[in-house]
Amino acid sequence: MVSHLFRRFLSFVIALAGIAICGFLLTRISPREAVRQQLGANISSSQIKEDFYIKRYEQLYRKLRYDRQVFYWSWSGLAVPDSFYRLPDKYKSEQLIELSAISGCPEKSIVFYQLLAQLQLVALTDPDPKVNDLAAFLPRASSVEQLRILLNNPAWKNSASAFRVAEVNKELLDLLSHSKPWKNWIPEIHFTFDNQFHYWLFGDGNWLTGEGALYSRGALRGDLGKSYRTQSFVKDEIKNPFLLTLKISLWSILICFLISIPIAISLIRYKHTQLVKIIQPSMIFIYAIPLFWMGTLLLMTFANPDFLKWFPASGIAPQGGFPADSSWWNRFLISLPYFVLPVICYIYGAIIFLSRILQASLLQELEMDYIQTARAKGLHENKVLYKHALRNSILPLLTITIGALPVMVSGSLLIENIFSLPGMGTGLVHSVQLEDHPMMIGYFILTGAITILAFMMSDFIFTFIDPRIRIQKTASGYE
Amino acid sequence: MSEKRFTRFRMAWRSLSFRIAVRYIVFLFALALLSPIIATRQPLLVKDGDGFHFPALTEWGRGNVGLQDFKNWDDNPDAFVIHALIPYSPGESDLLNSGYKGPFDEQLTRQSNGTLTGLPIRNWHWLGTDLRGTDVLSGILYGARISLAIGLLSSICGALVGLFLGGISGWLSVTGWYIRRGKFWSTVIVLPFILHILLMNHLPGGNFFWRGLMVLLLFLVGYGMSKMVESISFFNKTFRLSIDPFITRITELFSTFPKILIVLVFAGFLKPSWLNVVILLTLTGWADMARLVRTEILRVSSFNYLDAARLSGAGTFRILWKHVLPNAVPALAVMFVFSIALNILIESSLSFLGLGVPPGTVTWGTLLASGKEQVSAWWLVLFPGLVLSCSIAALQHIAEGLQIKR
Repeated sequence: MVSHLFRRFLSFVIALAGIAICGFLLTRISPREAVRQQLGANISSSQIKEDFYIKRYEQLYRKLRYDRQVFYWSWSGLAVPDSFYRLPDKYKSEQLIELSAISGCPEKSIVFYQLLAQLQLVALTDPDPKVNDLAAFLPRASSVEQLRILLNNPAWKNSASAFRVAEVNKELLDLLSHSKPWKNWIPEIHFTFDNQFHYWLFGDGNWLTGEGALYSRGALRGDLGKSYRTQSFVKDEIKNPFLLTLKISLWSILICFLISIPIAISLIRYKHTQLVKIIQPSMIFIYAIPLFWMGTLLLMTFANPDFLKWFPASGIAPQGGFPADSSWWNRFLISLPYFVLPVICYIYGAIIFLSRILQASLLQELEMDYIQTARAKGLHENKVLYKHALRNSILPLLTITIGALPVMVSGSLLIENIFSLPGMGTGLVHSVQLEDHPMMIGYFILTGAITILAFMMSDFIFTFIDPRIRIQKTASGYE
Repeated sequence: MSEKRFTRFRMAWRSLSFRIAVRYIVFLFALALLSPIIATRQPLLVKDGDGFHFPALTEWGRGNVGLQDFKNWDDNPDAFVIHALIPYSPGESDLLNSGYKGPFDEQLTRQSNGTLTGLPIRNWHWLGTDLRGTDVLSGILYGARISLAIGLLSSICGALVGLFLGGISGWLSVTGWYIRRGKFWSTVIVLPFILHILLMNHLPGGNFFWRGLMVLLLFLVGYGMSKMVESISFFNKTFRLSIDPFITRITELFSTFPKILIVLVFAGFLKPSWLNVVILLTLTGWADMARLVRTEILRVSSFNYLDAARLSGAGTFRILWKHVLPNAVPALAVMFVFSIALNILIESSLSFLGLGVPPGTVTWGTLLASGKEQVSAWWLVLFPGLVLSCSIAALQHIAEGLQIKR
């Protein structure tokens, strides 16, 4: 059995790693945009400030290690190294890739690019505005054809940098005449620990202890960067919503567990009455109601100023806060009406689902001989149901309840939005709407972890509690 | 043989509720298909001095539904005009009836002399309007169009992907994949080169022709290498290559993770468009289908007649197509109908949160979201939600009816 548990544990760990890698890859979709978001917008239009901005941008880009390869292994052609794809400047990156793809020689392409940059620097200060325009366009030429057209422009002839242009032209010819395009066709796989994933996972300090970290302590130590919107750590931003959602979910699970047992038992006890024959199918219909329609219907009925204003429509506490000298019990009573409608939304489906399952397993159990014996002894029907039958059929319910936690978390996406509760669901939807990527990934990884932990727990509890599984596993040669 | 087809459907057809559910879905489909001529501001038919015009049909033919440049045909008093059944396009605002007018509220129209009078009964907003004065009924019809299109398309794509991956996984776990060492290792050597050529985007002169030629060449090199190497006895031995566990793990991961969460997070990184929603729903929906296909193949493979087919010389493809698939179809059909319901539900949840479809598109989800803004407008909550729940309940009921009663 131990080896079975270990194997399950291993597969859960692999799943967690898969989710973490997925989240990491999502953060790497637009690295340049991410750096710009962290710097804040470049408001000023003056040249000096813009240069300063670019300098700061490139500094941060390198400090956040976006210029390293993405994963432990990088895959690129022999002609174009992987690092060319990850330069802070988009235009420089495009031009270098083009040049070295055609020439098949990355070192020479860098030298040529530097020559071009020098030419641009000089030409920008040229008195002739035409030359200035040409110089401004130089770094944006994304193909060799465009570059040639720019360099052969007659406007260069009379300028001070004419000899430089001739030199650059000569270099370009040299680069193209010695080209080795076959290098593109050969893949090169490069391995290094100095990569983005490593830094994302372990931070930029000591990878084991996390000491000396400047920018990130690593996702393993819970550092997922800063929110674009509030500029505070994702960890701190997520904490309160997470606690609220967890609290509501756990309360809902408890309540629905407590309600569905008597419902299932009374459905069985009174199954021949007319009332149950009406309730049974209508339960199935209610189960089919989509969550968000249920939520808006409840709002429309019970939080409607024109109809029944029984419960507040949004929030978790009164607008002015609690009275200053209120005890925790008073606070609980004050905030209770805020949670009634959301909790109903959380549990109506789960109650029907659980009571149907419990009903089925109870019906199976009631056909057993020992129930006959109990009834023959003259025990009261309640005692037979609650003490004998329920104890044996409650096991599957337990594991299903724990497995319901991720469903609750994903249900919170809609419910919290409808009732404006400041939980994880609202936070995630807001961060998606505002394109706040670090927060999105934080929520994604946290929810993934909760899902997998819940499945792991229900699996383990099932294996521990139910002896039949253990015996089966051993008997069928699982161990 | 042909009489016995669709047996399960015929058996289910005996129950009244199944018939109602199927008819409801068919009716909804018809409405969704015809919505550009049922609910449009353009008249269906105009007869004036120039002859007959069919503005609604021409707009539909151009693929131009919704808001467009509108020529007011009613201005011409001599023209004979037949309007659509619901003379409002979706998303088009009726300013006089803006600000949440219910079906029983007073609805206004402006006569040609400028006086305000009650709206004539054939222009009535039967299911009310929203804040901008958009007709809810026409929005529901167009919402059916989008919901059904996305639900059906993403279920089909998900079923195809699931059929492929689940089929590979199931069939290989039954028969095993035995491969020669020489073939395996030469593939391992050649495959990176082939992938590099196919996936690298910066190849000078790397057009389709040259890439294809290079791939072909590499293929031949690999083939030749395997043939040469297999003369050595070590490389001539076969071994079992098991890729089934990998596919099963990935499938498990995808089917346990909450679908709406994946769709939501990925939708944040993609541009809002309905095609992206289809892609995301396919990405999350294939896993359940793959799992079912795998278990069905494992179930069917224990039957004796497969051995009989194999003995009579049927090939792998023939066995899969003629013997395994027909046995798996009933269960797959059930799953398919269920997945349509689930995809419609996820899509409308997504548009309820204001994500997924581009802004301005009217769907059931966006209608419900506007109902959430103004809870006293009960018609905005009740009608779209009712249509949505009925569709989902009907699809689920159809699926349950088709299920095998064991």
